[in-house]
Amino acid sequence: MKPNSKKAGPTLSVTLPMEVGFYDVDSYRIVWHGNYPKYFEIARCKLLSKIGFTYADMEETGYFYPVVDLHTKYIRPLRFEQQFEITAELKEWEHKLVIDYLIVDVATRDVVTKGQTTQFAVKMPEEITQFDAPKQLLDSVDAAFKALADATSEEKSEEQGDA
Amino acid sequence: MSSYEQSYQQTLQQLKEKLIELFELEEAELVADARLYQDLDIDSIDTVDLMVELKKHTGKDLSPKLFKDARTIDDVVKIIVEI
Repeated sequence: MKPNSKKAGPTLSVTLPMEVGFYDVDSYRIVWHGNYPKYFEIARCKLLSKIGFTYADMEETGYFYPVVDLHTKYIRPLRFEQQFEITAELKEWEHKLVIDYLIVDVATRDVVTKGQTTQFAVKMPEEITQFDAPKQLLDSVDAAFKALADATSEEKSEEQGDA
Repeated sequence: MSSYEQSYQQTLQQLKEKLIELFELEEAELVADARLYQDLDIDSIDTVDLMVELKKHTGKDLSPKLFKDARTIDDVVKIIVEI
């Protein structure tokens, strides 16, 4: 897990509140390890929406973005009806799309799970793996960082105005 | 040594260095006819990391299409030299 494109300062991330469903727990009454990638996927889709480059946008520009690598560290269990938050944070995007995930318990703030996925662009229908992200993704990420910077500076000037 | 031969040897050396650095391969395994997938266990996911590094070092526009039929170290080196 080595972040290459991580920029110092603002990060592009989303955090979602979630709750463990009955259908996700196994015979040990904890979330079955194979269900975590679904939680990651839910958070990833929200992050991609925030960036403005969804799976539909990818497909429209002629690319699929399959997950090609997945890591999960199961630090604590999750149980039925447990409230948790999942955060997805963009780590790399210039070549591979790398996203980090963090699951924390809402009540205790304990870290429950850490994860990371890697995806890369595959040109369709030729199915050719790309060595660089399509321009549309790079532009979307730039725009999302700019929006983030603008929002942050607005917040700062509001704070200064209040003082 | 012809200039082609010179840049072939130079590119071969760069490729070998990257293969050793990224995938901890032994120099002795990296013969010209070694097949990336079968002999060196370099999969398509590793290939992306390799190409990103080679692009940086060669300064050439290494488009994925060019490498579609590349199988061996020699294939990859020739493609890069001939761009």
